[in-house]
Parts: sequence; C-alpha cells; structure tokens
Amino acid sequence: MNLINIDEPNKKPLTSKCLGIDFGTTNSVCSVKIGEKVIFIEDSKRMNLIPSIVCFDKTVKVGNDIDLEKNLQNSIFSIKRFFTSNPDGQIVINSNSDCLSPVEIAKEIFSHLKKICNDFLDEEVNDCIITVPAYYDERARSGIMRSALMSGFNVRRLINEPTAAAFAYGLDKKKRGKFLVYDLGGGTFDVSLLNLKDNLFKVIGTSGDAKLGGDDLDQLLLDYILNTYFDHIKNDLSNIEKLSLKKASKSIKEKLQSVNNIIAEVTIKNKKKNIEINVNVIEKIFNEIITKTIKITDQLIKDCNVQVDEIDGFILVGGSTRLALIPKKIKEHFKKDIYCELDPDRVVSYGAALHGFDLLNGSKNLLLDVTPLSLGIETMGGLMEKIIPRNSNIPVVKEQTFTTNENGQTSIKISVIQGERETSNKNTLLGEFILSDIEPKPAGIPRIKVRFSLDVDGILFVSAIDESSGNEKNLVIKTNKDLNITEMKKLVESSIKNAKEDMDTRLLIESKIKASRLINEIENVKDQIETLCTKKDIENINKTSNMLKKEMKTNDKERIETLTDNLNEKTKNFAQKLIDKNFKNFVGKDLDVLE
Amino acid sequence: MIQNISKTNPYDIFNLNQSYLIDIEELEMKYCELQNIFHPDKFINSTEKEKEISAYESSNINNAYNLLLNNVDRIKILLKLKGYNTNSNNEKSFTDKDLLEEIMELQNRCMSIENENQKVKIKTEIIEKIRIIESEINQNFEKKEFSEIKNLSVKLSYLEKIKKNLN
Repeated sequence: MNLINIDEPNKKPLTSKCLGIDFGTTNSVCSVKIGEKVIFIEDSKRMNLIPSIVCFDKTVKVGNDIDLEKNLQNSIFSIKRFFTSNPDGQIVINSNSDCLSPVEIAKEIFSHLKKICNDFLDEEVNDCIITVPAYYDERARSGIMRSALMSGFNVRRLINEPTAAAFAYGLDKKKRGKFLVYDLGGGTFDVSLLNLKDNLFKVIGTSGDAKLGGDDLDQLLLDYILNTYFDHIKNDLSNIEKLSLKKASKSIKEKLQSVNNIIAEVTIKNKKKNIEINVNVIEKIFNEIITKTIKITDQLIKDCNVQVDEIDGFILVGGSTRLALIPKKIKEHFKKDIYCELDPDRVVSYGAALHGFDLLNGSKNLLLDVTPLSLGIETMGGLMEKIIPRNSNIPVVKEQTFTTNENGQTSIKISVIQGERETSNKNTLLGEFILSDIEPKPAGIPRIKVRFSLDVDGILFVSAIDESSGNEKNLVIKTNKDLNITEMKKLVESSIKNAKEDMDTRLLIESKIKASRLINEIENVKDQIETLCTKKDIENINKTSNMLKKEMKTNDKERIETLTDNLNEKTKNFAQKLIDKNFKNFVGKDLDVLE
Repeated sequence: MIQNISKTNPYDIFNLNQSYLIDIEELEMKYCELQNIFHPDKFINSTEKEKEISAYESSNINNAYNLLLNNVDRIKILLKLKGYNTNSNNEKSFTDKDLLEEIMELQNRCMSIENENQKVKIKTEIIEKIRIIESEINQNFEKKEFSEIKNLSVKLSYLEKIKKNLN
C-alpha cells in the first residue's frame, strides 16, 4: 500500500513563529518553537551561544564573527551591564574616541541576532520575546526594549529570566510545586520564588542584584592568580596579555566544574608559571559572592512569607551555576533538592520560545509575574512615597492623591522614583514632569491625583491630574531625548507590515526616531522657548516642527531628515540662550559680566 | 470581544460571600480563573482597544485580590459595604491607653531581640495575638458591632506591622 501524503505541498504553517531571545551579559541565545519542537538558532559558524560582543572597526562585527586577538581595542564586552547604570550614557567605542550609548551598542547585537535567525530559518521572523533580569529596573527594561525595537524586532513581551526558566521546567520537566529559581548569569543575579501548577505559573516574589554575576567571579579568580603568581608584573601587562590571562582563569574556573584539582601552565611575558588551584582555594575566593547570593535568597523567602520547608526544590540557571561549589553551598544551606537538568545557558531562551509560541498561538497556560522594585514619587523632604510596592502582581494601576504645601501654589513637580530606600536620592530617578496651571488655593486644598500604571512588560506610565481644573499631564517614562516605547512599537509594527526592504525600513525608523527625539526635546522646553525667544523665532520653530510632525506620518526619509536638520538649526539660537540662562541661574550673573 | 466587567467591590469581582473570614484557596482559584480570561497575554493579537480593557481589568483583578488577601484592608472594605463610615469619627490618636502600652512593650521587646530563639518566640506570640483578634473581629461582624471592629482593626494593623518588621 502506498502512503499518500495528504498535506498540501507549500502549505502555509498554521502557527506563527516567535523567537525567544536571551540577551545575555556574556552570550546571547535565540530559539524558536516550531510545531512541537524548540529549535536553537545557529550562526554561520554553527554556534548557539553568540558572544555579546560588538566590534567597531571599519565595519561593525558581532559575536563569533570577531577575531578578538586582532580587534580587542575596538571591541565592547558585557554591554548589558551598562543598562543598570545609564542605558543612554556615552561609551567610547574605538580608538578614535567615537561614542555610542548602551542602547545603540546593544542594537548592533540585536541586529546581528535578527540576521542569523533569518539566515538560519530562511525566512524573516520579526516577532520575539526578550528576557531581562528579574531585578532590572524600569530604565534598564525600556532600554533593552528600545534597542531591540531599533533593530526591527517586534518585541511582543519582555519576560523575566528566572520566570522563563521556570516556565521551561514546568512545561518540559513537568515540575509542580513551589520552586526557587537561582539564576547567576554573567552580569546579574536573580532569584525568584514561583508556584508551578498545571497551566499556571505564578511568581510569588523576586529579588536579586543587577550588578552581580559570573564576571565578578572571573575577576576575583584573576586577581588571585595575579597576586599569587604575577605580583611583580601585574601592573605592566598589556591588554592582550590581560585578555589571555582572563581566558586562562576562565578556563581554570570551567575545568574545576568537573575536577577537584587543576594545574594549569600559564606563560606571560615569557614567564612560565604552573598555577595550581583546587576546590578549597576556589571556595575561599568565591565565598563572599556566594554568601551574598544566599543572603538575598534567604531574605526573599522571608519577604514572601514562605517557610523553607514549603519549597519543593531549587532550579539552577545561568552559566555560573555550573560551578560545583554553588549547588553544594545551596544544598548545605537550604537542604533542598537541586534541579539543573536543562542546560543552564540555554534554558532561559528555551522558556521564552515556549512562552512566545503560547502567546501568539493561544494556550491554556497562564504566566503571572510581579514587579521587582517599588515605584513611587518624591514627597516633601525628599522622602519616597511608595505607590506600587515591590512584588505586586502586574499589570497594576494605582492612584494616590497628593496636595500642595504652599498657599497659592500653581505648579507641582512630580518626580517618579524606583527603589526600596526611604529617601528618594538613594533610589533611581526615572523621570520628572511638572503639572502646572493648578488653580491657586490655600496649601493642602488642591487634590492632585497621580496615577501609576505598570504594564506586563514592566514599563511604567504615569499621569497626574488636578481634580478641580481637570488639567492633566502624562509622562511615559523615557529619557528626554527618546521616543517612548509605545511610539516605537507602533513604528516597528507598521514598518514591518509595510516593509519593502528591511534596510530601508530600518533607516526610515532611525530618521523618524531622530526627528521624534528632537520634537520631544522641544516640547519639553516649550515654556522656556516662549520666554527666551523672539516671536519670530518661536513662529519659525513651531512652523518647522509642525511640518516635521506631519512629515513623520509619511515615509519620506529624505524630507524627514531635511526638516530635522532644519529644525535643529532653528533651535540653535535658543539652545545658546538656554545655556546662558541656566548659567545665570547658577552663578547669578550674566556671562558677559563674568567675562 | 472583551467586555468591561469593572466592579468596585472586590467581593463581587470574585463572587465571594461578604464575610470577614475567607477561604484563601477559593479566592486563589477564582483569581486565576479571572486572570485566565482577562490577562493581557490572552489579548496579544487583539485590537488596541481590547488590549487597553484587558490591561485595565487585569489590574483591577490584581488590586482586588491583594485587598482581600490583606486582613486590615478587608475590614475596611467590609465596613464600607455594611454602610459604616470609616472616616466618621476621625480620632487617629489612641483613646485606648492599655493598647498603646501593649504595643509599645511589644515593640521594645522586638528592638532588643538578641537571638533567633527569642525572635521565633515573639513571632509565635504575635501570631497568636493576631489569631485571637481576628476571631473577635469576626464575631463582632456577626453582631454588627462596627465601632468595636474599628478599634480592633487599629490593634490588628499594629500587630501586622510588627510581624512584618520581624522578617
């Protein structure tokens, strides 16, 4: 009997593809669920782990395409770590002292990932889910989101790395009960407590340290080797020598995952040394960091009001947990079963691919997550008033009413902050805006309603409204100069739909972002423009900016760019005046007088 | 098409009886059922309008769930539902001198905790106190002694705060 293939050839697949992208400090991993299987994307060198390294030489190279020995000077490592300080700060990228922001540098990695995914799958896949450290704050999250959007990805969700890993264990290994996910990656440490049931994956609480990871372990080991074996020359090592030593110490660390004792031969500046390290030495070197992670874990369990006995096991995630010392320490301290059956380097991307498939194609599974850090506003005396406490389930909308503290006050500055400290200056300032035109009334009478709305991606929207006048002001958290996430998402979505050619689209998006950034900048200082500029200047600025706004709805890249340049030129005069004024405020004198 | 279900009363959202003692497992189950319908993940391919409603309703469900889980909040909601104005007699200061002393003494003891054993002992004590107050509150709800409940809830909220700080 002949088997008849009843499937039509070239039949369109019934499901949509959604990439699960683990953008890591050291390596990035992409995977996608097709049918019942999750496939890991390989680059042209047939590798799954794509080093998160960008090299700015004559051309931009990423990952395994970089020859590190030759390009060390122009290569940027661990860019993910910079997102926790300032995603829009400037970093020197090459020997010409050119600068780019972490968002722009990470964009190159995302573009590279997009390209290898498209090549490997032989089709363009735009939809993706990106994982972020659970303990990332809002600024870091929206920074990652912006990078990915700029590279043309249609980011359908950001999910937390430990949550993604738990999702993989819940679905693939059918784990049920309360589990603690201990995730020690290259640059971040996350710990999350989850309750896994059939079709339900609920995060109870999450904690961590966004600046602690395997990189720190490598550095400790490197310091130890330098101090013990190369003390006399440690200050005059070249970058290449440092790199080779770093490689050597990393390989020692990795070898100690399987053996108890290792002797490695390392040669530097023609000095050959036999470096001997055993697990006891390693334990001493790493003790401080591992103890720190256990402390954070302990505190999380307490904060969640859960007894250690109730926990069914620990799931280990992140390359650094391969170090035998970590499961050993956890076992000693918590006396719980340890699970690490799924490759700790790839499980996060794997979970994200599973969730992405569920999201786009519908499923019975439900994933409920929480926000890692408290959100609030600054009140009198620099104190933080929490509006959304940490570990709140997301999405969440909360409102709180505030009032003025001076008679006849007509404006109020709202500073949005994130963190756990009592005083606002010890927390992160996410953004601020001014609600003006409040009806003048005695202190304490006006009612200003502040509304915080945190979406499932962990992106925050804030608005304030004066209840008597109905005057409202919105703030989507963003750095002053950028498009907000919603605007970018729309741009990407529409450009994907209309794209004739990928490259053109990307360039168009970039010019739109540039234009919108400028318009935003101008909007932000509108009041100042009105006081500082002549009527004719204002008219000119408004006219050009309106033309640009109109043009942005079209897709004429040339026109947008010309108008942007034009607008930039027109506001130059104002910028100078603003600088003068700020300086005047600062020193109380005119610049001319000072000279 | 998703419908707006907005209800202001958390008990109604979860279809629970308006009583002080609630079955946490039942609440949890209904919470998940509702999130399964309204969570934004279920609307990822829907229109902007539907996404907005879903985010709004999903947050409402989260807020209502957290309010009901918190015993002090639950008292406020119930008093309001029973028609008792919680803001009417705005006497925030303690009228009950004994209560003040009891709380002060507990706080002092917590400050001078030296070891894990003492901590566990104090914690057990506080949990027992909370249990007793909760059952008093429940009885008073049955007897509709609302002003008494309000006084008890002050004590309860202090005890909960001390317990939380012990973690």
